[in-house]
Amino acid sequence: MSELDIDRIISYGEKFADEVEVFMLDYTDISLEQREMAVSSVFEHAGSSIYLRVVKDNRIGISGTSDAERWKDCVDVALSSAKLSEPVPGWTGFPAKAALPDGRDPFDPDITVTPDLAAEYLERMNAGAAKHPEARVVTGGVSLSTGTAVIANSNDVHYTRQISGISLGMDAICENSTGYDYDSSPFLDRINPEKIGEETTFWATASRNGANVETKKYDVVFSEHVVASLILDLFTEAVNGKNVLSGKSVFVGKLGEDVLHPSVSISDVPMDPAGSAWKRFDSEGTVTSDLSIVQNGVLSAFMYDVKTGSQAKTTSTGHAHRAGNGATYIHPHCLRIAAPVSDVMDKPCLFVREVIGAHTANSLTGEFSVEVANAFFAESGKFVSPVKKAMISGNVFDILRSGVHISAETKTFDGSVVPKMRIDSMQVIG
Amino acid sequence: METIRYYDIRYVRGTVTSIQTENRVIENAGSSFYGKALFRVLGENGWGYYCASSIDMDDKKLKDACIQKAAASARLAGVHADIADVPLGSPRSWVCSAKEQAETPLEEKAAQLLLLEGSAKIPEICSTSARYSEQYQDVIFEDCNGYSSSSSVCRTLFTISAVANRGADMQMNYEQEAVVGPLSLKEYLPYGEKCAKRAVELLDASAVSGGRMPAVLDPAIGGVFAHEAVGHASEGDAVRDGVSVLAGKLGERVGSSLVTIIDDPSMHGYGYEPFDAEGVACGPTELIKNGIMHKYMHSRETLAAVGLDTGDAGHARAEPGMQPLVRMSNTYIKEGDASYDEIIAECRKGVLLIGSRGGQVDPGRGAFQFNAKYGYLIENGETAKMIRDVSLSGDILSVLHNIALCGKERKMSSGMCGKGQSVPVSDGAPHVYLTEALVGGSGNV
Repeated sequence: MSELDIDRIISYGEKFADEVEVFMLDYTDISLEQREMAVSSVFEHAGSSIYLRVVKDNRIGISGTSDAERWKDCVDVALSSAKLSEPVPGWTGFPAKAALPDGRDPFDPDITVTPDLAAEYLERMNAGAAKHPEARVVTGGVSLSTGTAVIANSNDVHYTRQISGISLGMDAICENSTGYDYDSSPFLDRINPEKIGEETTFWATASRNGANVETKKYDVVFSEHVVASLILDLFTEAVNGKNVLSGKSVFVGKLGEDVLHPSVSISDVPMDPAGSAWKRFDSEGTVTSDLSIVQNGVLSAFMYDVKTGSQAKTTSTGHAHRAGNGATYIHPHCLRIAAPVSDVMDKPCLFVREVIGAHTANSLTGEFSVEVANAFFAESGKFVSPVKKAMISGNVFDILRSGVHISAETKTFDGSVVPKMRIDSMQVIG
Repeated sequence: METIRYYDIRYVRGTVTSIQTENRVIENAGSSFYGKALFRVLGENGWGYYCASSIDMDDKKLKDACIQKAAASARLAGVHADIADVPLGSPRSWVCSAKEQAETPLEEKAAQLLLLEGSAKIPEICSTSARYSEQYQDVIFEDCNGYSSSSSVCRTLFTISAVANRGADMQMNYEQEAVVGPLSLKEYLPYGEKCAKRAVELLDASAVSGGRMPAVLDPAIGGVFAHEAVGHASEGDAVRDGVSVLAGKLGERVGSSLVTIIDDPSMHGYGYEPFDAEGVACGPTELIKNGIMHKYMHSRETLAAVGLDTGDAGHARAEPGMQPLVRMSNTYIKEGDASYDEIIAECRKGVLLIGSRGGQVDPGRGAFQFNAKYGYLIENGETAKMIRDVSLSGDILSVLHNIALCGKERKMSSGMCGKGQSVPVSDGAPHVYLTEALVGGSGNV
């Protein structure tokens, strides 16, 4: 759909609504999947999605479609849905046009959606995997994508973001031990396919012949994967302004209070140089900026979009993302955690590279009880023996309250840049 | 011209309407429309796919162009694949029309949802929310051999959640019902209070200390066990790729003789499919029969690769515009002959786990984990103190042998299953007694 059509949608909607907003995504992608160390399938996809919101008398209506031809239906549905919604108290309106901060889009012109480029990265990943030949690579895949996201509204906002992406994943098996690695980035030069391949087969090979574990408390080191999927995911839920407003957060009413250990700070840095989702504006056109969420253990801010910011009698913090039905949801752009940095693997520990069931943790209270995978007893930074089977249990907020040490090295995920984390005295069930 | 050994087209279009309420206020309500066509071509050495957003299925020229795009992709593949000849399916006769539901004004549904949510406002409840969704989806399928079929299916669901608060302590509970066909919210009004009461009860529940112990699984979490521990490891692609601990075990004893586990896409549960994503007729597949590994679930490709006598095709499923994968649909453990009281009494000292907060499996390693909503300690053959934040993990092959009793009554629960793509499923079981399980928790009880 052309930019002219976006203006047409807004003009049409403005006949019936006070405000109109269009978020449009155009994309092209290709994926190569591998079995038996050769490409087994090639998938190409091109399409667009349109998400619409209208506001009438402070009531918000939503709609969305993957069929650009149906935009008028969407406007009509959004207008109907606005009639049904309650007025948003203190609604401040969609963002007005503003000067955007300096910075690049997460776009790499060297990423071309071609099978040749994808095949090259697949081959390089396979070369890395070959460094641990006892493991058998089961599947692997490379995806490349480019696209454009446009946010426009009746307050003259009309911003365009160019986006690109490469993602690679591989899994391997060695006897009854499995390994997996994955990475993604908007930039080719941040991806090391050989390392992904090598890590995959290393974890499968090194995790063989695991020993049983005695049930007791151990000092545990979480990998970057576990910190991201367990610690930061639950923390994110607790500082989501929507959850706070609806009473679904342990941090309700605690702004300005000590909620974590004084040595722990957590912030969101949308344009962090190490991040992977640079955003100068969010998906409803609010200009982004750094947000200190916890400073030296004190809760200093929650994340809001325009609607929840209005409801909380404050302003959007620029954390709107777009859901499939057209509504927004709140999520960080690039979370960073600061805590005492040390060589977290130096002292003896149980190192946990992955957990099975992170999503089953209690998102309200922070309680978790999950199965470890690719776990090892380690001493002086070296893996001494793999663990056959164990569960770890605890509470994410208690962990962050009791104080932790983090590694200097980090790994970048979509929405965070994450270190390893050492936790003293965690319950391990063998 | 590219070599095309086979092609098919799966065009999926539909409408999703949802209403979300929060603390008795309509948060949002609206509809979205989608349409995606997947063109799938089997070339000389593998598959090529091309996905287009919404097409005119009568436009032969456009379809031919899309098929050629998929064929060009297939030319890049280098792993030879065959597809088994299996009976293609015409839609089963189950009529799940939801005409009346579709015609009911959104305002009326929203009012009912607010009533349902409102019934959860009881003392000590600080927050409630509810969601209602109805999806009407049409599938049009055709292949290069002249076979074509179409179906229309409606799926409806609601969820209600409540947060209880006492001092610094907070606990949450949620209830969900999801069906194929229409769902009248009026009939579920008591769910709000039921959900809230459980959240309040959880304020007095204790966290368990964990360890190895006997366990009883209720039908909801027993169903998750069937799905996570057995279902995923019985999927034909995992078996073909040698990343399932159940691969190569057909005809072998893998569990107690009480264990029979079935996956049935034709069953009228949330995972119902009139025909699968390859146009294949659907029916029940007994994965484990009386403790013996009996059959695997297959797509046409995995059936051809693993062996025509190793299971049933008809288990390929896909999100709109995505490639078919071997997936579960409605998976359950067959009923036994024990009463609930007999099971609790036989357990004597252990835990009863109730409801599911989800689970995960590594089928290659044979390890699984799932989390219960809550449970009870079992002491002296009777249920005692309520427990919360309790999980269970295990080794698939060991745990299947530990099943000592299965109850008489089975119940199914609905949800979504993720495997790169998300599809609606249901799973269920009777109450199941495990003589030993690894129970996780961070408490002291």
